[in-house]
Amino acid sequence: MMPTNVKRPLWRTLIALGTATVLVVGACGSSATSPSGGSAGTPNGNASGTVTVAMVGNPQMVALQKLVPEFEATHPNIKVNVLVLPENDLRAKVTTDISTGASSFDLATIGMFEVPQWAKQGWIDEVGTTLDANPAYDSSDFFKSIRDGLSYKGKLYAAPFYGESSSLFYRKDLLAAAGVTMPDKPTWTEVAAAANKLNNPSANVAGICLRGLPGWGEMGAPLGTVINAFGGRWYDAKWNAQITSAETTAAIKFYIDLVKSAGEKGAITSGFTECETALVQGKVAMWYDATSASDLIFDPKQDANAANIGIAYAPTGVKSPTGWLWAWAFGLESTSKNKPAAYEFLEWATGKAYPQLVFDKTGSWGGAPSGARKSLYDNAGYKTYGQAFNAVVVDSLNKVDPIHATNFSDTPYTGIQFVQIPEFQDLGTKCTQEFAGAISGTQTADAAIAKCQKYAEDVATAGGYKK
Amino acid sequence: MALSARERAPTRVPIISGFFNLLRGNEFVAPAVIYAIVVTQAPFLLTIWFSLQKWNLLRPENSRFNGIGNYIDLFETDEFVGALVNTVILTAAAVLISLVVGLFYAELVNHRFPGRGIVRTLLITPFLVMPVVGALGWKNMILNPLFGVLDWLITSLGGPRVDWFAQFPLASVAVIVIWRWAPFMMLLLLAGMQSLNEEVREASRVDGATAIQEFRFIVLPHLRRYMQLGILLGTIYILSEFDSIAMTTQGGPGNATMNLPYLIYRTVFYSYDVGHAAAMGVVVVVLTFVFATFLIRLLGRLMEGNQ
Amino acid sequence: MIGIHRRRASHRTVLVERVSLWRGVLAWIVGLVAFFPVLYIFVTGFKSEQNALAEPPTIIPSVNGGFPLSFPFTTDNYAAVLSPERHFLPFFMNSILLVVVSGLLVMLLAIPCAYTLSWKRRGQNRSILFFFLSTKFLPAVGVIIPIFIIARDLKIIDQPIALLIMYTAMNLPIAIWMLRSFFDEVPRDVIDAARVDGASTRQELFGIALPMIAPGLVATLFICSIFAWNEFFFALNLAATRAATVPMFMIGFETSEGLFWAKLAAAGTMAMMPVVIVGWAAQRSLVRGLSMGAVK
Repeated sequence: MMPTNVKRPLWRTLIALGTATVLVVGACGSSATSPSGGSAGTPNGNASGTVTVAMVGNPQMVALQKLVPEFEATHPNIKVNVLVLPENDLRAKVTTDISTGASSFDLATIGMFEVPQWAKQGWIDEVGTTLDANPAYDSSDFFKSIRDGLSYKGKLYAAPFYGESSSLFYRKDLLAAAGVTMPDKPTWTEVAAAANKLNNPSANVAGICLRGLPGWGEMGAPLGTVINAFGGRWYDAKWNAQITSAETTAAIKFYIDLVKSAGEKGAITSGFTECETALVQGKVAMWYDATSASDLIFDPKQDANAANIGIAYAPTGVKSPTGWLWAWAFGLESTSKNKPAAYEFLEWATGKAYPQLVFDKTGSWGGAPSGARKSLYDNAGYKTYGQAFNAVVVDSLNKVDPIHATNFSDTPYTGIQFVQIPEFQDLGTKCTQEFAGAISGTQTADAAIAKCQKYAEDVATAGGYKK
Repeated sequence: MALSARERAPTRVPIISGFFNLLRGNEFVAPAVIYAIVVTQAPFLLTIWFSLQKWNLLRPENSRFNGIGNYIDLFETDEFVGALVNTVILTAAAVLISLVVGLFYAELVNHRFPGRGIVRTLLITPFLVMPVVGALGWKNMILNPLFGVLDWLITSLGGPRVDWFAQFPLASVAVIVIWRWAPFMMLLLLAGMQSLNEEVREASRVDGATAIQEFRFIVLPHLRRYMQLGILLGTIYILSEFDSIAMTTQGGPGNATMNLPYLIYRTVFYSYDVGHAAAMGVVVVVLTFVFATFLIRLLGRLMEGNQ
Repeated sequence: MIGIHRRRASHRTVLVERVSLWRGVLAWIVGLVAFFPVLYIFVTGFKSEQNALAEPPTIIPSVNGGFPLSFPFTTDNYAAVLSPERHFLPFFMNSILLVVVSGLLVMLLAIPCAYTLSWKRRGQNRSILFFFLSTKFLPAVGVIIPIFIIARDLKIIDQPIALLIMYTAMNLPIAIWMLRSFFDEVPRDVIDAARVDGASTRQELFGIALPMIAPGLVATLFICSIFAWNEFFFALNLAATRAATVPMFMIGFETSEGLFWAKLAAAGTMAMMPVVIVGWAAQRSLVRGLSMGAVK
């Protein structure tokens, strides 16, 4: 995909340098995009052009990158250029790009957090109308929660690639050895008791891995669900910050204390990957994280102890269910000049036949996107592969409700593990940074909570939410 | 990116006229100066302009002119001041320790021993390694309390498990920075040592000077200029240290390792608050300007040249 | 050094050699400790993802990892890193192009400037030198949005020229500072003699001074190349798919979900190899260049 496209600018650069000075750069731009422009495209199978796609480097996207030649073989007039970056870098890049109208990409993987906000700004196109009109694509196949989460004012603004709720994973062998049984639907109290029992520092095994890496999408995600479970929330109906409310404070302290007493070593630098490694290596007995982890840790090819892994629903408290909701989806930049070709790629990558193609070409279900299409769970091959975890995943995705995530009916925001306002990226990151400080002992939990409360108040005022 | 001539209030007029005289009279200096002005000062002027705006990329509807409001906000938050303090501590510690370690490296390989070339190669390598890779390596393989070599070594010898980034966050980051910059200092200092006339060292030894005396009274004074250059360049680069923090602690725990570049990064790429980020950038430039002026006065001889 | 001693005072030889041996052992230990993280990254590239972060750490490649500190050797990571869909070559070529062209541009701008600063108009040198230094005061992240917006308006986002402009500006100050200090070392009388013979400034510079500081020039070019090759932040923000460089290729193997460390170690090894190898080959002349031994 890239070689032909790379040569052109290189050559051009050399000419530019050779002929005169750097000042000719203005002439160097443009025209790199394909001639097939046009607005709101209707896919007709004959589209042509170059589609530039920005993707988060998660295993499912890496598998997709591997299959791009398959797409290009069946769509000979379309070239696909892919950029793969880690989540933080990609989010930063795509957000800057789209919000300044630089328009470097046609498609980008964006999360459930961004979609409604970007739809509101008009940065991404409404894709539901076109996708719904294509019977072969079968957009009714998506989980309703996923589709709702990616919609703005009832319309779909990004095509779901894979989706996830959250669940508790555990090592059956370690639990059995310690005489702990894990109920199918545990409460946080039960999980904490089990974690403390399983915690065995002399054997270098921690009770539970909970993300302690600062970041709204890192520690912020599991912590957010614990806050909901305890009956807490970020804001009340009048946008008064609720971090210091009894429930929210109790939840945050519970999280911090659990990590301190029975959590993984190196908590403040541990995110998904670190916890996954720890579980796979037998350094932790339990791990609470995204259901999509199932595809990795239940895969014997990626985890030698796959047979020992168990799964339970997201632990609950006064509120139930508490699992989070997230999806990575392809958004179509509204400034894209290659919309017909972009639609072709999007319909292929998020299409019904795609997961089977992943298995056929890579020999593994590990890279197949799950949690977006219900039909995947009827696929005989995937059914067998996911027999240990599919029931929990599907049920969690069916029950999850981002509109009523808290224990209150008057909560002014939507989102489960996040508050769906642009400022939350900063707020969630700052607060989790403070909480990480409490975990490592540089400050007390109360001090961290007080600071978070202040940040949250500032956001409500400065953002114009609080009247 | 830097200071244009106009910001330098105290010597304003001579410098401006100096610049113009220079550009008129000298085709040798002008291209570089013009290039640097165009490429670095245009964005900097934009930064100043943005610093006066209330502008969040994600809330374009709220944009407006904000005067010096952004600057006032900065000094009302502990965060900015804390990051400033961390930046000074990290930079000062990392530069000075890098210099000492670099001196130690240089003195080690300045003498002949079997395999000297190889050891010098080994010592230089950390400076060549891509900072992102180096930082991730330290985080995942050396300082990680679960999988790290260091903790494995310590616990094997009966010591306690240490969670380096949680217990000694700033020191851990500093170690990574020093690991990378000590070789740079070594290169400079080794160059200085090799330009030192061996006869002088030898003479002192014949006169009965101990190795330490020789080092203190012959080598160190000769190295002064090289050390000054090392301090100046090291300071400029380590002041904007970013990779080793982004790849490990992300400024935490709490704000223990939050330095100004990372704070600006978070302001740009988590809150997309261009206005405040620009204001921070301008303040950083002003502070660095003051600091560098001071440093250069301190290291006065460096500027004199060609004696 | 030993040679000198032997020539001068044979009775000291034994003592000096004993000191050298002690220094040699210490130097080797220090060298290996400093190098260990790099070695470990290199070795990790040949482990499976699960073994990459296993405890106890392993360092000796073997067929099946049967003995202590050994791990089963695999080339899977390199296969993944170099697999066709990852397109390593375009990234690599972009990086090479940027390093070479920006290096030449920097030299083109810096050599005359540094020479003049070293030999002429001393009254202004201070402010000009300080000006170049001041262009490095603001961390890249502080100006990234303005730079991005300018690049957008020039329509050079994701064109190599955007990075070329930035890398040249980024390395210009250090090149001028280093080159000036080298020109300072050129003996005054050599230039004066040429001037008496009626040489123009151009002839002084290119005919006399430049050849004398050639080792320093190489050292400067090399330092600039390291910074350009390893630069990540501008590349991340100003390039996407067409102008992307090796650090972006490498970081693409990092993920927030799934194990990645062995593959990243392999990619990181590939990414740092060119600079490390050139650095190893050039280190002697690097040190000589920095010390300007050729002049003295």
